[in-house]
Amino acid sequence: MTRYGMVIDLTRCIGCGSCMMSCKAENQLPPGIFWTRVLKKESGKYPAVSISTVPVLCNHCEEAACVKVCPSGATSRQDDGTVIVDYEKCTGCRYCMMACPYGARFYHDKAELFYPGQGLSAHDRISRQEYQTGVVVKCTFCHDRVQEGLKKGLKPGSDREATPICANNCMAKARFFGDLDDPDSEVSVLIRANRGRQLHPEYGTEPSVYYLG
Amino acid sequence: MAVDVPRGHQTGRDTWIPTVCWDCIRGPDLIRVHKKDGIAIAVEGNIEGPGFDCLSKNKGRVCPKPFGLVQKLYNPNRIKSPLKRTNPRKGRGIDPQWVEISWDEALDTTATKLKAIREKDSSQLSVYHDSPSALGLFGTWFSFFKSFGRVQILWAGGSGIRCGSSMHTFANHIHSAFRCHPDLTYCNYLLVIGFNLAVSGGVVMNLAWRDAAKRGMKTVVVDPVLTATAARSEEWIPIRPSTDLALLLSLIHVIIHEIGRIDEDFLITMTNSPYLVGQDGNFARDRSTGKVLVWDTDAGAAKPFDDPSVKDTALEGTFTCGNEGCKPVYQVLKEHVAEYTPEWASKITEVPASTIRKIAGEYVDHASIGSTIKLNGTVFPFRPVHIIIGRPVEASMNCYQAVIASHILAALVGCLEVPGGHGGGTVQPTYLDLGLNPGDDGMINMHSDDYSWPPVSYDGAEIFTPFGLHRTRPHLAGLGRPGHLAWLNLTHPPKNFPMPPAPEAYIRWRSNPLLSIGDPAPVYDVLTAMPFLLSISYVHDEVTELSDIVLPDHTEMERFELLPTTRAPGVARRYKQIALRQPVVEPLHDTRDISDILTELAARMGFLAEYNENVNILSGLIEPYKLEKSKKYNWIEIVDRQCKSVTKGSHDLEWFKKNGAITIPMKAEDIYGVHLHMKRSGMRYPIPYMEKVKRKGDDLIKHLAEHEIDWWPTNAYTALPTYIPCVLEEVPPEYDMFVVTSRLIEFNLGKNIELPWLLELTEHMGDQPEIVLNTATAAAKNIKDGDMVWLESPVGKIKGSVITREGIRPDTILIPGQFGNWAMPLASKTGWVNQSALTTIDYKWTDPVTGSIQGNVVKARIYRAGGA
Repeated sequence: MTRYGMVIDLTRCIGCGSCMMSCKAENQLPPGIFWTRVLKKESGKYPAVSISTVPVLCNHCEEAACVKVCPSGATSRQDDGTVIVDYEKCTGCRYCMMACPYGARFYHDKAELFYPGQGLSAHDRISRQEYQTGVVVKCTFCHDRVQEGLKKGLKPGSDREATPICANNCMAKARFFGDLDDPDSEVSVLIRANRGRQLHPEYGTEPSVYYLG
Repeated sequence: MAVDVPRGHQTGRDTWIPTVCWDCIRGPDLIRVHKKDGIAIAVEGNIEGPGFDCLSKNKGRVCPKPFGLVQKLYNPNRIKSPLKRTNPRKGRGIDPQWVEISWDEALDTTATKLKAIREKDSSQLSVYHDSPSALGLFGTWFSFFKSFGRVQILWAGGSGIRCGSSMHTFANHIHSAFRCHPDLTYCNYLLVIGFNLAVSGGVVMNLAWRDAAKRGMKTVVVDPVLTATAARSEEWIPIRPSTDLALLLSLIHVIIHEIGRIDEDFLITMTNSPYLVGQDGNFARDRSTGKVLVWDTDAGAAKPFDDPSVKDTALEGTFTCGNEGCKPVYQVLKEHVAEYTPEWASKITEVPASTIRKIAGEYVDHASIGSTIKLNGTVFPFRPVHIIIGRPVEASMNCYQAVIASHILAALVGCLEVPGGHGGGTVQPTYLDLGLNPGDDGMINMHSDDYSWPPVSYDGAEIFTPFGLHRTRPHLAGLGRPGHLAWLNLTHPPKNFPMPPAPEAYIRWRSNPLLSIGDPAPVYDVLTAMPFLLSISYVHDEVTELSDIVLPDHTEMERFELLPTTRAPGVARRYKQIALRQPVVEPLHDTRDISDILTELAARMGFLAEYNENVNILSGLIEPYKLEKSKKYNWIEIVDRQCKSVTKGSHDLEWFKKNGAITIPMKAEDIYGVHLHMKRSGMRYPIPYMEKVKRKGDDLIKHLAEHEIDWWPTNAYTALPTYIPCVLEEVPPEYDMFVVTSRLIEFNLGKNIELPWLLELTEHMGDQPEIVLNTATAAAKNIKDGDMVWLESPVGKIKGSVITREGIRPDTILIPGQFGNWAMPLASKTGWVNQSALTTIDYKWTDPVTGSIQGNVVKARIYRAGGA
């Protein structure tokens, strides 16, 4: 079996937002929506202060809470472990947003403009082709890209054309992608060697995104 | 839904176009642009080219900025054709009443105005442009102005808060470097003073920095703010703003007086440390040959520095040469820094003396003085330590002193230009590289201009800053000069300073002097009074609002440009790269390439032949690809000739269009070539003792007295770095807060502030350019998160909203990014602020030796805005 997952090395991340911007542009996301975000939190009191920088995205959980609650069957887990929303089936009820403990889903309620009051720019037009309103959207692990790559015989995680763009472009080389079921994949090796951990494992969702550091 | 596909696009399939991002000085990074149905949508690092793979210096990775270049293409606010003002009244908020005109009319009008100036006095034309984009334009931009005649350069870089000009100038004099970088492949200890490398280090440096951290390199950050860099480092030392020079001097003190471990061999053979200094502070010289003397302890006598019979060169001691007492430079340095104890520095910097001792100790320990490394069969000294100084240190008051101090710290442990150590490098293509030329007294040449009078520049650069790179090197004309003073001098002519004739015309390409220099008042006064103001700009802003003609040029992703960076800075210099910037779509509007605009103007003004000859030189064109004198070439033809010239005929433009770039790995002998060249040639770095600066300063003091100029500070032309209190100490105490600025990665040195993707990114990351205040300070001043406040300095005030944080000194306010726009369509709606407006433009706020303004750190008071 295949189970795609991601490893994010927090000791490498510099919080630049390259992942956010790459995802936004490559997926032509509508105004106001980022499928991956970089959370920054300051802790301590001056001068003993630290800042944690944690990139987050859909965890593509093995026991996905969103899949369980979706009444229309729009959200489902693919054979490769990727959790995908079928926009045609999504009724916009947003149960999944309530159920997701990671806040990784976004409701596209209204088609905003990048330049309000100035009509549709080229990117607004593409975005509107891709995303209807009244549906829930989220990270797909660049599903189309990975599938296209596989058709060409490429290996996700090793070959860039079969790898999510956030992992390719990350300028601090903090993101890694691959098959968690393959013990020899880079992600599996990194998780084993660095005791990779999932976000809130206590929820029992079995996320496919692991953090190092 | 049908997509309204702009003309010239392919449709119906995904394509990837190789090009580069050079939106900041750290590139050019190889990228490819994803097009969907003919529309450019995204960017990916490019590893798909001949030999790219891991050789491309950004290793297939990008920062957020190039996405701005993509969205910029489709910005509906773009200026879509040439414009002419019809309202003669100019001013902020006054509608210029633009009308669209043809390119012919726009170019004819401009050429007629400029021709009249050229025939009368070329220096009545002033020009201003931004630096990073211009680096690839050595060819046409500088050729145009060189051919036009001597013009007034009012460069964005070189003096303002946007550029580390003093480092460019003196790193160039010391080791032929445009700037200095750590050698992160080997460095084990990195001391970062006022440099936020996580946001302004670019892709290459950040990748290397995180790799180095993984293998155990320690990073210590000295900064008033817990920056993104400090947050990722092993130690944060919050220093009192603008006191970094005291820390640097104290580190020298600790190493010489307390630790006592130095790289004697390096100091004796590769610096002027053994040169004898006489009572007058100048080098002691041999009477017959005029050569500088050193002391041979073995012979008990002074001998010329290059005398092969010298057996035991003295670094310390007091000797008698002739009838005069003299000392080696090192001895003079030792005595000079005796007073700079950690206890002394601690009072100024508020960094504990024990911390200063600790970091000095770590620096020397990690330097592993005496160790070597064998690379590619060559044995090099191995000194894996580096001290980076950032913009507030290298571009502010006393920055000359700080730059020299940082280089002395490198010399003391022998880490200059060796593996692991303090590297240099240039962003200039080889054919313009100033190189390691022998100068006086066995040292690298320090270019300097001769004193001249009366002033020919508005800022008096040729008088006050003789070490700037201005007069003889047109492509570096903005570096190391007090460019900000031009605006002050034009509005408030200084005493006994005969100003050159007032400007008749001003050309500005990209860049924004109203927001990037300091107090906008003098800039605004000069611009509104300008008889003819030409803006070359892609979108309306604060300067187009005051312009007479606006010419829209192609944006970055509609242009061709060959970028040969063959001795690129520091961490990047493991690879040579010749890269092509190329259009990812056909130009979307009636715009032209900046170079074609200049060529047209040169032709219409009748100096095409001269212009073409200069293009040949400044674009590095060789036979048989040189331009003929009388022919008008379009830019694409010139780029093709440049491709062929740079590759000696082996690759043309078509090849580069398809393949993107050539990358060539460098061997250790190239990477550390400066060190090997210095060894081979026996040349020395002109440190620690900048005798030439002192002599030029002595000369200047004499001349200024002749002309009764008493307003220019003359105390900084020192041979050794000397503590001079910062001008901020003189600001009245009611301005109780330091206000510092920093860059944001998504806007760093770019021209992207008008783009929704990046504005959204900034907001989502919580990095918006608002007023960042320490939590306890905010509480003491009864200010809460989100409150609207005024920041008021002696020259200006700005209003913005407050973000409170713990990771900032209680006496410091941070304003990240540079906004403060009032005319740019989107940026003006953000309400985000700009620290620049608080900066005083004045002689007293200027580093005398390098011309840098005290702009990165200013003082202000903060209070809640009424009614907010």
